[in-house]
Amino acid sequence: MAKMLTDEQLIHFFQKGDAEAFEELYSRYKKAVYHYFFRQVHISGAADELHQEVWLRIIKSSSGFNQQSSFKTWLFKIAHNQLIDYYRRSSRQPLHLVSDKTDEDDIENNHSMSSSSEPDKMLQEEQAGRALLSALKALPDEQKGVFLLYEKSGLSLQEIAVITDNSFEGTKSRLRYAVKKLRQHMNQYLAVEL
Amino acid sequence: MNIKSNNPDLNQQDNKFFDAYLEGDSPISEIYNNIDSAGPSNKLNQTILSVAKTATNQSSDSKNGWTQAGSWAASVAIISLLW
Repeated sequence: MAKMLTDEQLIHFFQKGDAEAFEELYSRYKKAVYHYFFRQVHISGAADELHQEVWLRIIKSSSGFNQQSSFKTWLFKIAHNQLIDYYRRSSRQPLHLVSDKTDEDDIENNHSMSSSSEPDKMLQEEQAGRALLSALKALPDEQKGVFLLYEKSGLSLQEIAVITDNSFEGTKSRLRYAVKKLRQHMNQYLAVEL
Repeated sequence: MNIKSNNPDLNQQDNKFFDAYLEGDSPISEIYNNIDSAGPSNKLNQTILSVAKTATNQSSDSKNGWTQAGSWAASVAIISLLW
C-alpha cells in the first residue's frame, strides 16, 4: 500500500504518526542520500554521521514540511546544507587519506557479485570503474555534487539548481563540465564501451 | 583549468556526448552505476528507523501530556544506546 503513495503523501502520514510511511520513504532514498555523502567525503564514518543527521532532521522537522513542496527537493536540500556545514567544520582536511572504507572495497564487492564470467571483461570493467572513481574524486566539489545528485537521486537539473542555490543554466553548465572531464579521463575505456 | 577547445569538431563531439548523457544514453552512467554500491549499513538503517518509530509513538503520547522536547530527548537517548 505504502509503495503506491507519493513521497508527499508518505510524509503526510508520517506527520500523523505512521512509522511505516517513514520506513517506505527511507527505503526510497537511503542509498541516494548515503551515496551523495560517501562520494563527497570518502570516509564511511563521516558519511554515516551525515546520513544519520539528515534523517534525524527529517524526523524532527517533518511537521514543518510544506505539502505543496517536493519531498525529494527538501530532503536533498537538507543533505546539501549538511555537507556544507561538514566542510566548514572539518576545514577541508584531506580526509580521503584516512578513509576506512574505500572505493576499492566497492569495486571489489561489486565484482565479486558480478554475473560476468569472462575474466578479461571483468578486469576491463574493474579498471574502467577505478578510472571513473579517480576522475570523479578529482572534479571540483560543485561539479562533483551536481554529477552525484543527477546520477543517483533522480533529481532534475531544475531541482538540483534549487538545492544548490544556482541557476538552471549554471547547474547545467557544471554538469556539462563534469561529464566532459570524466569523458576525457575515461577515453581509453569509453572507446571500448562505445 | 581551461577545458574549452578551439576545435569545432571536438566541441561538437562534446555536445553530442552531453546530449546523449542527458537522455540517459551514456557509458559513463553505465560504468558508474555498475561499480557504485555504497550504502548505509544495516545497523545505521535500524538506528534511524527506531528513532522514527519512537518519534511516532511519542507523538501520540504527547497528545496525552508529553512535551515535544521530552520526546526528542528520548529519541536522542535511543541513538546513543544503539550507536
